[in-house]
Amino acid sequence: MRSRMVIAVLLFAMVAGVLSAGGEGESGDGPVELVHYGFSAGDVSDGPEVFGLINEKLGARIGATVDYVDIPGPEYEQRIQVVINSGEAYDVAFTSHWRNNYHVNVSRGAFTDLTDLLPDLAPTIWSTQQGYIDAARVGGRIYAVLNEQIFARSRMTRLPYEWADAAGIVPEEYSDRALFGGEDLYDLDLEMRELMNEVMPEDAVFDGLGPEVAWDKNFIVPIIASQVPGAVQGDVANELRVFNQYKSDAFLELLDYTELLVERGLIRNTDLARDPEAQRQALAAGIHVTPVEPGGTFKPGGEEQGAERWQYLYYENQMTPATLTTTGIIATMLGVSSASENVEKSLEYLEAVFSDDSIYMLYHYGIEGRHHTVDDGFLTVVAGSGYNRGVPWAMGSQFQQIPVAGQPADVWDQTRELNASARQSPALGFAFDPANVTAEIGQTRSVHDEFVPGLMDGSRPRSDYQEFIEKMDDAGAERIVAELQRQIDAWAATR
Amino acid sequence: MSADAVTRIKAKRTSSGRVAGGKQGLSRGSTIGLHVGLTILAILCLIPMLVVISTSFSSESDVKENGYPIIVRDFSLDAYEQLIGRSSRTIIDAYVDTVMVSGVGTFLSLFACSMAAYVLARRNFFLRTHLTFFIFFTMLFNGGLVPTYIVITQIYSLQDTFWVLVLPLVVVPWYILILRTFMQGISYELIESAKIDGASEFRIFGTIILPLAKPGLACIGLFILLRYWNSWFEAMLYINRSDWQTLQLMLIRMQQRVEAMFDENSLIQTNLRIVDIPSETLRMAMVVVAAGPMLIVFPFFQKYFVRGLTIGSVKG
Repeated sequence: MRSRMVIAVLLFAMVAGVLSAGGEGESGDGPVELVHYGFSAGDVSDGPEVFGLINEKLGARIGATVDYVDIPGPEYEQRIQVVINSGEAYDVAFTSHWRNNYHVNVSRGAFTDLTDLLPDLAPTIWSTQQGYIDAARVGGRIYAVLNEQIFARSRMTRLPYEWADAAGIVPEEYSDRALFGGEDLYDLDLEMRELMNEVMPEDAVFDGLGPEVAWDKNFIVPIIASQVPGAVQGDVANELRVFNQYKSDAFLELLDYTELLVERGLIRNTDLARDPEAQRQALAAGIHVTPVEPGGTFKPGGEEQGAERWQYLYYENQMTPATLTTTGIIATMLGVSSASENVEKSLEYLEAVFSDDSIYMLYHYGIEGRHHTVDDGFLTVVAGSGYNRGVPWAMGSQFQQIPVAGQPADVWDQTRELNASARQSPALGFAFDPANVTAEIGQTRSVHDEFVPGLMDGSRPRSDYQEFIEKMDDAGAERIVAELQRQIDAWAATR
Repeated sequence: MSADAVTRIKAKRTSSGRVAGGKQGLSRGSTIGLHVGLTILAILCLIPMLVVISTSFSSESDVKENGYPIIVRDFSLDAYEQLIGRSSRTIIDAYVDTVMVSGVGTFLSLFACSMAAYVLARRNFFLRTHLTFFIFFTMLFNGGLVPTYIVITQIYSLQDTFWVLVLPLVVVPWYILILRTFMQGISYELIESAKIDGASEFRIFGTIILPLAKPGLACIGLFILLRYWNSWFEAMLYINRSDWQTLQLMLIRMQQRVEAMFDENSLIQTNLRIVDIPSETLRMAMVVVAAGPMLIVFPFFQKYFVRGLTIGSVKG
């Protein structure tokens, strides 16, 4: 008898649990509640309170609130893919070429076509993004809005302040010589390395250059990614001939230069830099030397951001001309789901965020006085206060952000200028459909990862280059190049 | 076994207690060899755990300079102070959530699995073969991630509830099959005689089968407990509230944050400060805090565990 009662109670508990859960999930009639999937990198434990304030503003302005689903960055891709594939109704989601791939989503109809709605419903977004938003067009249509930020990509220095000063290096001068003086980038790099070497301790990390430096130096624009074969030459007018950038003279020149650096001990301790913990220590200790940084991109005001990150100040000065590419522009966007029942409200919501700086600031930096302070027009984040999203480029226009203390007051004007003055990739606006060569892309990527890091830091001899190229070809490099050529020709014909 | 046979075996025993003939027994040399080998193996298994615990009790500067210690060189409680100081609320919440989920889940799961197993173990149940296959089939093929997500979020609307962490893991086919084999070892005559005495099916299950199946239940119970304790995927997929996470998910997220920090891709570069990264010792302290309770629970199950391990291997 007793056991029967236990069973009855258990069954009741289970059924009640399921039923009550069902009740919570349903939305009633009332003001529209938009569902926005996004991510964060920092502490957002005060999120409910911050979104309470955002929703007050949104309620007053557009008569809707937002249910923001905050997913930690690394989990975002998997979560959003499941949500999209399950056909779940949501409204807005982050998309880009590197996370929640925009073109894949568009090709499978996951996003709503916004082209005709933008001018009326989101006039601010529409007017400020002219000239760039074309990069988001697929078949002439626009399926997402851009989060404005630094669109142009260029290489920069990363030299520890104190050591560079001790070596008598003025990075600004090198920047000028590289950009306007017409001097060879590698000559400048060598000069800086030699000067740094005289003052730096033996255990300092002298990082190698990456292929990205060679591409930017020679205005070669990889189409899919730096690691995947297939690039066009930027400064050749009206020619869209696709080639494997790893077979180019530019890459051979970089290999020669790298060999020279390794011989002279000007690339060293890089195995240490591959270990995250060791790298963290080297960076925080200010003994990490990269006169021309292959990863990362130059941003006005970036030095202060880096100092915040590494707790050490590094000189960041532009070393190559800025370039606008499709991926640079579509690196962070917001799409409206095709499963959304509130497309218009969603656009009104985005317009509200892009045009009301106070919403942007709340969204990224929380409540003033508690999560951040503003003194004399400069922002200071209060550490450990429970809200700092950590990804100010992931939603809205970053130009809405109050400059961080230490950044120049006109940091966003400088950024706009850099965007506007950047040289354009001849394939700007072209979007590659990888469907036919997915396997080849994956395989060439792994060949790249097997060889290139080693070739770049001297842990592989220069003589491995031939094997690298053969393996790349075996992995289908030429098929990717041919497919790219075919698609680019078709795209060029419709322009 | 007849009394005669017992006497005969007893008579065969030598004074040292070994079975006469001695061929099955090990020589002293090989016994020592075996013990040394097993001891080394045991030490090898213990070292990683020891390193984790020692690191968590070391000072950060010592770990940075001399690497991970096997035995604490510079004792410090900094990591634990930091752990409790900086995120006590989150950790305690995660602890409470994990304990609740594990407790309720283990109870429900053991209950469901043992009932299913009992039914399948009854030789006179006419659907036995078909149901066993039905359950076995789900071990080979399942619906996949997206359909499961649809069922849980759109049909049952379980997301953001306590039950989403419990229900998806309640029935485990593999455990049902192990328990079924174990219960098949229980003599059917016992069930029959209980029936003759007028016991109902539930009473037979509750008062006869369950107590007899205790070793099996304890063993499977431990498996289930571990499974709930270590589960994080459900919490990641179905819980949208940022203030709600299980211990293991918390650990994973912490690790991911550290990795993201070092990602050289400028796009993922964040504005977080390097000092916000948990130190090595803090990370190890979290592991100790998260895994500790299971290490303590394990010995309590041990006496059943040895017997439980052999279930299914030899049919009663």
